[in-house]
Amino acid sequence: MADRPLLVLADERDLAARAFVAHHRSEGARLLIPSDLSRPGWCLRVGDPGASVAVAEDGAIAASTLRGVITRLAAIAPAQLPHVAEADRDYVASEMSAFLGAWLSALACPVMNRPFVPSLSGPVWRREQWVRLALGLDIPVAPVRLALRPGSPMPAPPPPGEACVRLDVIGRAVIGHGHPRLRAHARRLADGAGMALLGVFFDADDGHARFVGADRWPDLSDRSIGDAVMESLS
Amino acid sequence: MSLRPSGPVLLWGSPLDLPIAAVCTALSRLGTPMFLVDQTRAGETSIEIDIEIDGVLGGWIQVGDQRCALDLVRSVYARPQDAARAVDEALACWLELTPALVVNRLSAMGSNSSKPYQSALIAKAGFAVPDTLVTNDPDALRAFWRRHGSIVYKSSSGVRSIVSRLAADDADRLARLATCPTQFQEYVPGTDYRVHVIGDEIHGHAIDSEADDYRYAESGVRLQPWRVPDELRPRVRRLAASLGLVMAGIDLRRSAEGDWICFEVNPSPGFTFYDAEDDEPIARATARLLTKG
Repeated sequence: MADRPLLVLADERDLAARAFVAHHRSEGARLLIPSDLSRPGWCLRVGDPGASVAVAEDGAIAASTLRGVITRLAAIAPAQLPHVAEADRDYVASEMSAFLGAWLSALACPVMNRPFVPSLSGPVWRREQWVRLALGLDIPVAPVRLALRPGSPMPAPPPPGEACVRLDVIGRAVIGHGHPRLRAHARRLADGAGMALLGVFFDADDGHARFVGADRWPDLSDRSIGDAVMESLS
Repeated sequence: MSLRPSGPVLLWGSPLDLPIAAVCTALSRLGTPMFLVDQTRAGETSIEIDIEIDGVLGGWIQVGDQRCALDLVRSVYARPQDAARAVDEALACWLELTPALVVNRLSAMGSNSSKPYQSALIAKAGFAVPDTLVTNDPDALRAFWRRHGSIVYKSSSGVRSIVSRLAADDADRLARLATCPTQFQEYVPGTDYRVHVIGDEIHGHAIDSEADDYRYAESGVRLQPWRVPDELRPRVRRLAASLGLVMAGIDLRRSAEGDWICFEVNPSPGFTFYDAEDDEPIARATARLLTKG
């Protein structure tokens, strides 16, 4: 491999991850899917990050040679392990998630997004938690209300309206069109959450727009986003 | 001058859970008001919750015909059996938002869901941890086993498992190791101690047992209240604080050489196993902490 490998931890059917890996394969991008955790060779020594080993596509990869890791999974799901006996699938998925949380956290190379154990990719926050962060950063927010009545399911966050603006924070870059103040807000929200990859929504494109939500999964298949990822890892 | 909160302590879990029951009793003795979100009755009792952020955090939770204003809650004792239902998910979210004392926030409990991750944090906080290898490579395991002579295996995740010594009979099972990276640790002989950090209070117990995992020993486990040595007290406080835990059950072993080795920090300790003395000091300490808010 000419370049240092860049692992993309993703579901086997994650088309955006596959597109990104295909486009940047010559630069070392490799797909890491949950079933790879059942290929022998994985190692983690607590307190000795240099001893860590991953197994993906071409075989064993010493963690010390990695250029970086992009995480596109919050956890390993039992359904992603069809090769494991059904009775063991829940337990094995928990064990793999726990292992990966420790393995990714110990890496010295950039990890986008770093785990927030038990999440493998940044904090799993509800909109209310994002709003609290924004308020703490003096970023204007739209009021939020979470009301649950007996038997009602957890409401999904409302989809961004047509007037909404999306900015993607990718490493040090902010991609998308919006007022410079919004770009600064997006940057501070990502930094505040400890995330290197984050989509941020505002309810308009002017400097007084309010923060309305965040998306942990920027579209890696977007060329400008993919290139910014590679740039941030160079 | 800030006013001490006078609202209730919110308890989240099952009243059949021994620590919840013990804390309820201790709070009653202090005369502290309580509001129980009883997960065991969620099916038969309506639970509603309303959380609002409009500049400030507000809202309420209602269980049956009892309503509690969330901004009046002085503290929370959280031991949810699970948080999969929508109302539990919403309450877990509120726990992350409220400025009230929470014992403990679910986000702070997260480190315990990956034991090797937590081991690294424990080491960073200054405690020795057992040499740990997580692998699905039989050759790496054999080398680790040879190096230490005696090793144990246990779950990496928060799913409970019995810590077991790897024996020669297990060699045949190594072919199945590839399925999933598994956690192995050097076996450290010594005496077990459990330390509970509860706010500023520290309670210790010495455990006398021949079992590899005393929690599952069928007999022969003897617990004795134990005064935590002065030099250890600031270290365990710092360890709990470094993990963001207001209350923690810390598993220590003292090696033959006198070193303190930390195996795990339990963020939701089932302290009643240790709190056998008549006056239940751990439950009372927890109630005092929650009452103070």
